[in-house]
Amino acid sequence: MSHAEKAEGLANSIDKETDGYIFNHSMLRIKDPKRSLEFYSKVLGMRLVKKLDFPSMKFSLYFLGKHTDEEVKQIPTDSYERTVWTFRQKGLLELTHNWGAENDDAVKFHDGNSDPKGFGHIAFSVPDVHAACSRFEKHNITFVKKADDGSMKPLAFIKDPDGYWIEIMEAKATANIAKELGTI
Amino acid sequence: MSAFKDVEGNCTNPDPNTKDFVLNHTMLRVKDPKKSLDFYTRVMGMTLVRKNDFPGGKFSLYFLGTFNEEEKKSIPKSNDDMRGWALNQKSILELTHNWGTENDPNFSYHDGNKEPRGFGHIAFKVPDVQQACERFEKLGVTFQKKPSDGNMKSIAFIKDPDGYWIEIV
Repeated sequence: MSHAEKAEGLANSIDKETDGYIFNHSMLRIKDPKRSLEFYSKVLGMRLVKKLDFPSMKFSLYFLGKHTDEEVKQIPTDSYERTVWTFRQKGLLELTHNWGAENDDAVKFHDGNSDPKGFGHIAFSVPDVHAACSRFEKHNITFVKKADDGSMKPLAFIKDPDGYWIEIMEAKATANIAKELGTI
Repeated sequence: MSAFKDVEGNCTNPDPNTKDFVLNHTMLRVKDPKKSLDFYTRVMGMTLVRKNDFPGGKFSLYFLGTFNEEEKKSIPKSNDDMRGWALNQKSILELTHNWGTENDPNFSYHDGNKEPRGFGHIAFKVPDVQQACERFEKLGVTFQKKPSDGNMKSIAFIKDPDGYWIEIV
């Protein structure tokens, strides 16, 4: 398969040596795993698939994924096998917790959307943006942008407990927004 | 997944209302799309599945993914269908380019790993870390951590053209 679009810099073909490369996860630092796990599992429906504790370095890693019931059946129960499985998946979120950060008032993480900028957000596609947002309101989630604010609609941004931005969109509707506002 | 019932805050029985939510992408701002697209397609083997230009706001969005042979078969044939499809997949990387930054010698983005910290890295699973790193060296990629550095011999960190860290595992 070739690229769907033309753009300067694109490799003409995909190097055979990259067969088996999988974009596995994105890592965010978090202050308090209890509130982050509650948010990602309860509000966004993610499942904790692997937890790794490093007592000597005083940190823990939490790997979460958005899996269907069918996919969950494939997850190995053996801890080592599950680690191997975890790193072969797509679309995982890794949360890094340095022990004690939750009790340290000085620890606050940078969301990347004010200077110095860099990382922007993670995004979930949902079947119905308005339904999802009504549910988020019931959970008292903080919004950066409500579904019908601005010119891009329906499309929302919410904040996770550390303030990282999460885009909430519908795949087809967002493709149409891009068509209206830009050129594709 | 009952193993994590005792982890504080973790809900092991997700709300059915979230059943069809998909963690679709991670967005990073890039200074020069030409360099970034070269890196992510030539070095990391990603495929560009969607590109949007917004002349009004003077920015462009690029969406890339890694796809195995089986996944490639399910990719829609028409580019129009592919754009909506791309937003329902897992593990897409979105690169945002604000036009003109590539011509500003003083412009750079923050990788998140020095103060103020936040975002850490993205990670790629490769079949063989040693072999992949030898290839990266041949291609002139910058390393943050070679496999032989430090305690964790089985992982490496490289840098993308903006300096974002990429874990190789």
